[in-house]
Amino acid sequence: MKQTRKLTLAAILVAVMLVLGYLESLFPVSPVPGIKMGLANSVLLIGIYWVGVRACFQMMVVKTVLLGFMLGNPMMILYSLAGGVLSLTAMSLLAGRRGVSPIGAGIAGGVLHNVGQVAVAMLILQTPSLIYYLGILMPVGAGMGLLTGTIANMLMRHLPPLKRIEKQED
Amino acid sequence: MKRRDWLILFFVLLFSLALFLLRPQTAAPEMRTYLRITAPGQSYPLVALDTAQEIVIDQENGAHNVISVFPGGFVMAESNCKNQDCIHQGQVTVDNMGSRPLANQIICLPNKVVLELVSADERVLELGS
Repeated sequence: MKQTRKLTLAAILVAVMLVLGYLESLFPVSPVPGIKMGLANSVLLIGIYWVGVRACFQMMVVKTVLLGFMLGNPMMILYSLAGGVLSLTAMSLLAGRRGVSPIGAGIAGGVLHNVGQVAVAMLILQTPSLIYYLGILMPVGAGMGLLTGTIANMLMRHLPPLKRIEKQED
Repeated sequence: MKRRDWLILFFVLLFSLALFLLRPQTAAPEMRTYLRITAPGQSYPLVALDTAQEIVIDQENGAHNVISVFPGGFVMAESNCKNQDCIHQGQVTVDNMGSRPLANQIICLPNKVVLELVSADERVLELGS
């Protein structure tokens, strides 16, 4: 893919993630902290397939920092980054492997996002027993990951025009 | 869903089930319970959960929390944090900690205040202890 096209696509994906992040903050799924849909994960998952792992990490950092300044505070950025790095690492390791669909990668990503955040909370609050909270957050992350993975899977199947443009370019 | 997708899901659920089974459980009712307060740069003695009282935690950065202690438990009554999650986490008592998502804790993440229901030896209450 041409560099310009890649850059443009990555920028669009970041913009989509910012909008999704903002929408999610308007409709909290649950009063329990740490639980949200994480729709941006769908976008990152598609990004791994479309613009590559490296660009995806850059997109994730840009999105996290921008969204953090828009909605939250520096601490929130730290929590999100820890979750984002772990989650994206897992997804990029799994995506494209034999026997693993975007759904499986999405599940791993959703779970590890929560693991990263709880790990940072354990460090900052000096409270190791927080790890038990993962007993609830991990299945929740798996559920959300299943959802975001399925969305990514469906979107990639039903957004063929982009691939066509790509082919014409090459 | 492909074959290894199920494998990923299986391991995730297995691991969380293990954590879930290991989590702190309801303690024997005759045991005395205490509230442990953790806040950055401050130390608090254990608070016995036998009389009703209010504890105010003020930090240098302006963070302000009020804990309401009652016989057998406590609740975050007031906080000047943005998300108010700690208020919504509700009461912690020996009886309800087995069914709360955060078990024996109330956490105000923005103000970095952690409240924990503990036994006298400061350990988190363990199953059957």
